[in-house]
Amino acid sequence: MNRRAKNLALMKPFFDLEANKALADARPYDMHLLCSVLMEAIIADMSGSSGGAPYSVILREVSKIALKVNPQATESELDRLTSHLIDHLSSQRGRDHFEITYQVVTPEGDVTRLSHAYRLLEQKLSPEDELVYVATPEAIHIYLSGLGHELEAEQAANDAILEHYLSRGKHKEAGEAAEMARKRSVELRARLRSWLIAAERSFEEIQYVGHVLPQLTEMQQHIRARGAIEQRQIEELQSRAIQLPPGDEGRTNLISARKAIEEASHEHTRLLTDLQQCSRTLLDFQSRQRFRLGDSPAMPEPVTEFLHPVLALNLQDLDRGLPRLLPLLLPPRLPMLPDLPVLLDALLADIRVVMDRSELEPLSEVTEDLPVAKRFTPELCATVDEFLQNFGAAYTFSSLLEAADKKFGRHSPEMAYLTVMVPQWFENEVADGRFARPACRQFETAGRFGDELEITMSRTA
Amino acid sequence: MTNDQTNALFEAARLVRLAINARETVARNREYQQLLQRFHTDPEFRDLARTVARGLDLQIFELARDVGLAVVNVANGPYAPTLDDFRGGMRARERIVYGLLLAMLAAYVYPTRRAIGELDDSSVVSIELRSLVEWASTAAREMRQSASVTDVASPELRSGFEAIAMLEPFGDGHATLHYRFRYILEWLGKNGLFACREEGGRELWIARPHYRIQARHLMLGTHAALLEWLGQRAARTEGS
Repeated sequence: MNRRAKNLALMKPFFDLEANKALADARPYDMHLLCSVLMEAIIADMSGSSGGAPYSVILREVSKIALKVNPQATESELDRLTSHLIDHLSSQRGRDHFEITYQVVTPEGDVTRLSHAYRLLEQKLSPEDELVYVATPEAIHIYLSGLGHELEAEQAANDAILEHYLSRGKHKEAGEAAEMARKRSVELRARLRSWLIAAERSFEEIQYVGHVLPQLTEMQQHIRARGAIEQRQIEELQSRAIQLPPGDEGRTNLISARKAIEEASHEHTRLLTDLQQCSRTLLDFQSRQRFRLGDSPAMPEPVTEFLHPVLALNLQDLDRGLPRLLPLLLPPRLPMLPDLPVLLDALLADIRVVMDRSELEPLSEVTEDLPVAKRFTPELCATVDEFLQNFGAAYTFSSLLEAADKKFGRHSPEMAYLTVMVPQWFENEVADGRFARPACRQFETAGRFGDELEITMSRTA
Repeated sequence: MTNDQTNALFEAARLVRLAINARETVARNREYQQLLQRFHTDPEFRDLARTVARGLDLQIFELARDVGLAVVNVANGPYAPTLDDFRGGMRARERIVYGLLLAMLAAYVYPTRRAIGELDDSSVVSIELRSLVEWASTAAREMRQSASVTDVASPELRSGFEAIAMLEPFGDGHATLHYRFRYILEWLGKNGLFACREEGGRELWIARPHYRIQARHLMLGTHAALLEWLGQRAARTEGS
């Protein structure tokens, strides 16, 4: 009863499609019928190689029924109708889920509320990278239950058979043995690959006659033996499984065992293919390497054996050969992997430069006096003193600046020293011997201007 | 080292090399199928492959058996994309807009934790570019009035949302939301995370299982709060 209550609640999306079909401009159609056709098409294709039904198949099946209801329906209307069905049953194409809330009776007799999230259709990419639709277990369960079997009557009849079969446990042992054989085939295929890799390097490595040939024979015997056993087991399990109702635990066990044996059988088939190819390839290696010297070929002479022939190529030949030469000339590059977190961090990085400053930085406990750089070096002072000694005993400040401009340059440090030092002669230190008196006029020369000075040098300086 | 060990090492490295390409499928590549089978059935080989990957600063994630493996960078790995790998010459404002659109795409595809599913889930999500653009345009405009966005976005990111809100959703030329989302989807498609298919006259963008791996890492990363906030808006739009 609880299971049926849940099943009824699971069917709500189908009822919603029918109830809201006016909004989708689908009034002429019975959405229950179209959903049934859609589910049939999808479930039928799920066992195929693509693992699901592509849109084209669903459209074809839905269109067959829709055109019987509305023969005037255009292609775009049929597309719109089919897309509407898929969009709804796939919960907005996978972005959402259906969620139902239903009540059940507990073993203690209370009524409690449960919720369940599910989808009816899912999208997958087929092995050929095409978009296909698959039905979820809930959808398959709803669809198959709707077939109307008298499950109770069949159940009673099959219980006796199932009990007999399960008590023997044959199908479980068969499944386990098949799994072991499958793993053995996987291991043997790996061994074949290793022989091929080693033989390509050097045929002597693999000890073809003494080691490989006997094992190839053993592999053939393994495949032959398993093939006969597994075929018989698959037929037996299939005939027993279809006698049980869907969803029955016994049927599930039988199907699991059958799948394990089928997978093992497929693996043996792949092993057989690899075995045949390996045998041919190893024989080919043997004949090609038999007369090989065994040493790697000598490097060509770079100029005469490589460069000259390349330069002698015409443009057409060079164009053909360049795509093969170019990767050898360039260093290998690391591939770029689309790391979205790193990319998003880079795109959303703060555009302001963050300055990590604190006004409350503690003062250093150790201080030291830094030496102050002198503006005028002793050598510069000596040069200017010598210039002044030779300039004369009496002159004006402006004439001194003009002469210094010609000798040292207007922006030289010697000029700067003169403009700083000479006005200090106002101090009139007698030991200095230099006297500077204002001339009561202004001067402007050599890029400087100010009060003119008359300078005299006493003989005692 | 024995011959078998050498061969196992060779095949483990070969498997990592094949798995690095997200567009590789077991159906198209028989060698990949064989190596994958060995990976799933041989525990020692599986450990060896993981060790080889780790040595290359990579990490292997197992997807569904019929899909294969996903290989992602470990933190600070050398294979991480730079901004130039994505789109060169972007100004700061444009960079932030693209970053926000990348986050909005992830939140739209997987609006809830339930939607993102399990790692080995082989089901995929598909979206229409038109619906994505319409949602993003509406959501960006709503963010102007939303006070809660300050909890998950800095002033620069909020100004990015304003820039998105001011973009024309559709139209010709490069100054539209549609152009930018298409650029992102095509870049993700080129790198194996999305596939584009036509169905019933509609263009569907399918998020591959490899994109699920990346989205899970995004939702655990620096901008997890922003993604969750965006996802709530995407889920709310769906339910309404």
